[in-house]
Amino acid sequence: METIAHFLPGPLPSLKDAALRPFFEGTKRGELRFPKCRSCGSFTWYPQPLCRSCSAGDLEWVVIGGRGKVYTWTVVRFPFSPDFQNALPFVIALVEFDDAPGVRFVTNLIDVEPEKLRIGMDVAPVFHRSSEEVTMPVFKPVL
Amino acid sequence: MARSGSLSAIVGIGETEYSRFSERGGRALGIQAVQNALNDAGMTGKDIDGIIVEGLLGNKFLPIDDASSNFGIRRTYSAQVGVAGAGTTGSVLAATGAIQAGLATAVLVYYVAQFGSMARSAYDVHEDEWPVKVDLEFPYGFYAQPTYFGAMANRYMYEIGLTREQLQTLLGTIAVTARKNAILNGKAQVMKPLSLDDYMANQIISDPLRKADCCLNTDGAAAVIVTSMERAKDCPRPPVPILGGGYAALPVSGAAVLTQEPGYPWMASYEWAMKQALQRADVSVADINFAQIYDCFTISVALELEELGLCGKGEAADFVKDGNIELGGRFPINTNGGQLSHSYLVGMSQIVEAARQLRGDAGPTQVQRAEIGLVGGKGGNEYGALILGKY
Repeated sequence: METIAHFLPGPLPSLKDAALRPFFEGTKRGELRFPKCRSCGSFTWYPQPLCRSCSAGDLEWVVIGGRGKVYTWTVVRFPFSPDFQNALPFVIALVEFDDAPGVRFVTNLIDVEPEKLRIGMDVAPVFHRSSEEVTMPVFKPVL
Repeated sequence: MARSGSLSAIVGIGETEYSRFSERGGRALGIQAVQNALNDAGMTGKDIDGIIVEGLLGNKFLPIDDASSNFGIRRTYSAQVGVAGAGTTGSVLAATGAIQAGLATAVLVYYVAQFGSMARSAYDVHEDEWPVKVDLEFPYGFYAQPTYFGAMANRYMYEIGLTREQLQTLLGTIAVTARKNAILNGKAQVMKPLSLDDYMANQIISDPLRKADCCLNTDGAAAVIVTSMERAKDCPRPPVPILGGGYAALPVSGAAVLTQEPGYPWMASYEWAMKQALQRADVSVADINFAQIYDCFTISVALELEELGLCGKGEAADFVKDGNIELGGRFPINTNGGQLSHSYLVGMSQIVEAARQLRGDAGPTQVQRAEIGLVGGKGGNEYGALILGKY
């Protein structure tokens, strides 16, 4: 039974993009935050100045619970970037959240066997302290 | 059955040889393709007054002003349109608009591919355009099109209720058919035989996709020339009337389009572009004899067959059975081997192939009843559909 040992194969974010700063401030505190529109209540992802549903300009970052479900996944077995050569294989998942409808968060799944990957499986965030400045959320199955 | 009322036609087509890597460089390849198209149209650069190219990389290797300088083209119109396959088809559609508006009389549309020569081939493209992907996707290794489409394939399998074996047969059939056509074509980039067994043994790169599910990396160029139907009648080769076309893109950012589409993995804009094309051409799907469908991946073909209404939603696996999509089948697709086996020019060589079919010039890959053909091209959220006819 193959267990996936690798995650976060790529370089850490630069943190230069001001639009993402609230997201990474949140992860540093163990929180998942996504932009929600005060006017229509929709979530907008990826972040942009205006709401993707109603184009109002009053989005606020809200903290969500963190537990989600796997919306889809792929197991990467080829080094599409030479940087990934020593990190294969790894699992990409898009995770959806009951309390953030419309958001699909791209992430890695850890502690998982490829044969057990199922769309709809419950997952919980693990806030990985990748560096002094950056904490990256990855997800693992909830049993 | 020729349809009257077409206002524009393709009157010249040109291509270069296609390979994984060409030392000739993009400029030389582009110039050759344009020269071939001009020769084919019985024209010189002096006859051209408009140039339209795809909007993402279309102006990079043979910029519009370079083409003008080399061929003595004096422009009254030029433009860069759309992304990838929606850009090449969209450029031809825009040419019909420019001609109808009297902004130009003969429009050159071309594409130069350097995917073989580029350092990171086609993977280079997306990362640079959308910085949020650098911070929120690249760290996780969600990078390069096979990872995006691998995720789509798994969701497709779940939504339709296919077994893994059924999905692999669907995708394998598409890959095998493309390779068969490429071998018959004789000028394709890849002509090594590929059976379904070969496909099943092929290396998985991003589950469930294999190397054999992915389009080529090509160095090469292709070009077409578009004029009014009136002008077309003076050209030496049979004109290929552009019966109608459509272009559509829904309001999704380039960064979000591959993951956040509400109807994932189906794209609503593709259906919308096809509807426009059918309406403008005044045809129905039943009238179409063959299609060049944007095959960046096998899974893309399966999705497009459904998005374009060529079969019902979830029915692609049935549609490709029993040789249905082969040259001798009920609905031949990607008759030269497509982007999976012939050449990857974000749809430009598929436009050329469609025109060749409708002239009756396709030789061993000639579709017997080629009177109305569809070319569909995608680029993220954008889609361009052209419906071409026989004169």
